[in-house]
Amino acid sequence: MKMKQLMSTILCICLSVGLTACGGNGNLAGKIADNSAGETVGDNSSVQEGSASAEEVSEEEPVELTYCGADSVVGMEDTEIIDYIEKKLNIKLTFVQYTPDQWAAGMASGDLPDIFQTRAKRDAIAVTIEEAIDAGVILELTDLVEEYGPNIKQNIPNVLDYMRTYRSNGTGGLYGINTNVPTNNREGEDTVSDYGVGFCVRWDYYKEMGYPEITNEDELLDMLKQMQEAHPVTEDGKPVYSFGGFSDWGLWSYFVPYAFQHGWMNGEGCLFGPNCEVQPMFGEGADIFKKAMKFMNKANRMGLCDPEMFTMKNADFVGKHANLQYLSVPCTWYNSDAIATQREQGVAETDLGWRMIPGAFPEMYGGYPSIFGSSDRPTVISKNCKNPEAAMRFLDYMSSFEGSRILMSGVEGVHWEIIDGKKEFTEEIMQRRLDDFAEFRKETGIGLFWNMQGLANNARDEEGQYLDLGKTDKAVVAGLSEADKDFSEHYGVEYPAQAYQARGNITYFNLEPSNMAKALDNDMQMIETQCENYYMTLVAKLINSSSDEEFEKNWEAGCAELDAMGYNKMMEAYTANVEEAREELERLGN
Amino acid sequence: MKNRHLLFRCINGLIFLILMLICIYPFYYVFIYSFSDPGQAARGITFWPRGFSLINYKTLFKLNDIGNAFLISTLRTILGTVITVICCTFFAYLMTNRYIWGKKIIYRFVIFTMYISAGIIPWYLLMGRLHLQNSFLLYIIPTALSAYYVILIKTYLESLPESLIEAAEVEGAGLIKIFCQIILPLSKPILATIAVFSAVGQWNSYFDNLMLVTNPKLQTLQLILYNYLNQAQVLATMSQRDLSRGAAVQLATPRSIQVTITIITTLPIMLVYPFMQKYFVKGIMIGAVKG
Repeated sequence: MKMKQLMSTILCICLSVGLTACGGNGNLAGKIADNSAGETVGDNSSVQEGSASAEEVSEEEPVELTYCGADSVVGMEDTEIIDYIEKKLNIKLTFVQYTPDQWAAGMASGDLPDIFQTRAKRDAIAVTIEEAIDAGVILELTDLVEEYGPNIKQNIPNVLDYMRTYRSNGTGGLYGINTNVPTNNREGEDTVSDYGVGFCVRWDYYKEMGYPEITNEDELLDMLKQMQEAHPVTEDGKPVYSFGGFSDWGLWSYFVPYAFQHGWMNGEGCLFGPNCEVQPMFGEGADIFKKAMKFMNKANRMGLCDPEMFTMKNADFVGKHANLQYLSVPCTWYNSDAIATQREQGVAETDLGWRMIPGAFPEMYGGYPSIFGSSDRPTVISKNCKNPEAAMRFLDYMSSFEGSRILMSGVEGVHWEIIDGKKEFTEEIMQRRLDDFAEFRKETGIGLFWNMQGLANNARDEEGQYLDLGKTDKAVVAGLSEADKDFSEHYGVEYPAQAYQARGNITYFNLEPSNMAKALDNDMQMIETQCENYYMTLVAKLINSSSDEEFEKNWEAGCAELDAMGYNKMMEAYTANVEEAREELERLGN
Repeated sequence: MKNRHLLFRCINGLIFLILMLICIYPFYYVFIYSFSDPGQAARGITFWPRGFSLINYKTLFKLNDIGNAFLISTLRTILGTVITVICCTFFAYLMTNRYIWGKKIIYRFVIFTMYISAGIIPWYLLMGRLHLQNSFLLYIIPTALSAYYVILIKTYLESLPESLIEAAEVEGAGLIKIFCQIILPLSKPILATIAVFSAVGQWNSYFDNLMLVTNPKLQTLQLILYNYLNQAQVLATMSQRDLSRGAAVQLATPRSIQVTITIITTLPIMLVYPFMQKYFVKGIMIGAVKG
């Protein structure tokens, strides 16, 4: 019995010991210790300490690098252009995508991808560069750029100053490199084949009505009303509406097309003008957003809106659009399935698609180019990286004309060639792009990795030629569908975008002041979150108002409610931050 | 009286039939969606597949390393379940054994972990310190002991007659012999219950893989499918953001991939479940009542 008791006790002790974690000096524990002392993670010392940096890698062995971009496509390393880049730089890339939990764990442990993109504010995709600097998990890059970044120094020098001044958490160090910098671009001369965001109407029905001239929003609504009366149901009996919406993108689908076509773009709880003028969505000073709501309310009262527009998700919207239930959609992005359905139902090739009506509205959204590139997502190298030199060589190559062009246009001699001194896609590539663009992109990787591009799509090389050969006139015209050609012919232009350029103003937005504005303090952020939870309720009430009087009543009540939550205070604080950043930019001559 | 009885049974049956359809229909919808053509299915389906097609399954089964991932998932399910059942049962047995010193404190120590969790970061750091990163043991060691299963088993074991164990001790049986030859055979209902819970948990688990395993040879089926779904969503978003091309562009539709993944991952467990169900109900109820 005593023996049994002794054995039982020994077993209990063994169990208890087994439940406690063994202390050790494994790799991860070592990394945590090193990280908390602010030193380089792992066995490697940091470059600025001047000691031997990476473990030695033989010339033949490719250096393995993990990369996490804002929309890294995990598993897409096996494409023609990535293969080329890997061989050129003797690296082996692995794309990863981190979840919020992995970011949290990675920031705590230092176990992060070798190269990753940060974000302007913390979201599900990444952490901010300021957080990464605070946590001591990323490398300071000055010495690496000096030794391994000739293209970065030559092509994007203004970015380096910008990053040191505004994105270094006050340290003055260089911690990140921006991508998509519009080096050598010629603003106002950019070629686009078409514009994507606005009230896009069903083109075959518009043609059927004889291309009625539309010069204002009321005429648009009347035209859509007639269209809807002429085509009230789909072939399988489902109801047809002029407007839909989806709630999982916030308020985007309910006001963005209107705002964009009046020269404003969406911000956080506000709208931005072309020079980053801040206009609140609600309360005093609100103008465009209120007009957008009035427009949608009028449309709803005319019976043009889908009753499910406030409860549907984007996937539901796309499904209904694919079933041809919408006469107007907020952008051209979702047309592929719907066009396939049109084709099945025998719509002529020349009549396919949904398009904005040239001249219907005064403005067309052209984009928000930034001289500093994607300053909201600088790329950094983590202290976890075993070979920061190889990582910097990779980033430098991406910032070179050659490297960026490979990502946008492929490899010379394989995907493009020089014809009479002009760089163009080969005929085979032009045809592959036309036949099945999605498959072409998946196989070649061309255009798939825009977040990795050091230079922007509208950047030009030393000869003034586009890096993105999809923007040459020849490529744009060759890429036109039958419907594009028919549209262009009707409006007397070479390609669709020119029809809008001739009949309206193309608005480009300078959002640098908002990118550089300091973040709201915690109290204001809480107010912002509270207000965001209320916006959708108010928008639904506004659009569902049964009369102008009810609309005004709901508007006043909603604005009062938001004011009570602190919306006006929050907007004042935000506007002040943006103005402060604007003054700083002006002081620096930008 | 007989008529009222019959009427009641008819209405009752009808109500339960409706409830049953409400419960089954979502799964049926997912099933027929997975066998529909992606483009046509996006327009809406109701009772039958729209444009019957196996393209979704063909696409997924062509994924790189799917065979290896299936093997890893199966191995972790089998091994993980066996280890969990053995460890939890033995621990629960020790907690009911009158000769174990300090069993109350040890038991409470384990149960405490059911209510209080330090969170993801300490868990991540701990797994790293235990060198379980990129190791198959990550899938089976941390789950070997579960407080909830221990409670269930312990409660069940306490319902077994003490006299059986005393009789065995009198005959000279030791701790291990009693465990193997008396406890285990008598505990079949609860063991089957725990086995089902554990197998389902192991089969569906991907979080540990996501956080701590980068070796492609150790990826589970769930993670391969999760990554593929993310890839399809990103590609679809990119394709949609191109300016309208008008040409014959076929987008991957993430929803059709989502539903196919749902079917692939739930089907194996659904095939096993009916065989274990009789033990499941018996085991839970006995443990609950006696406890």
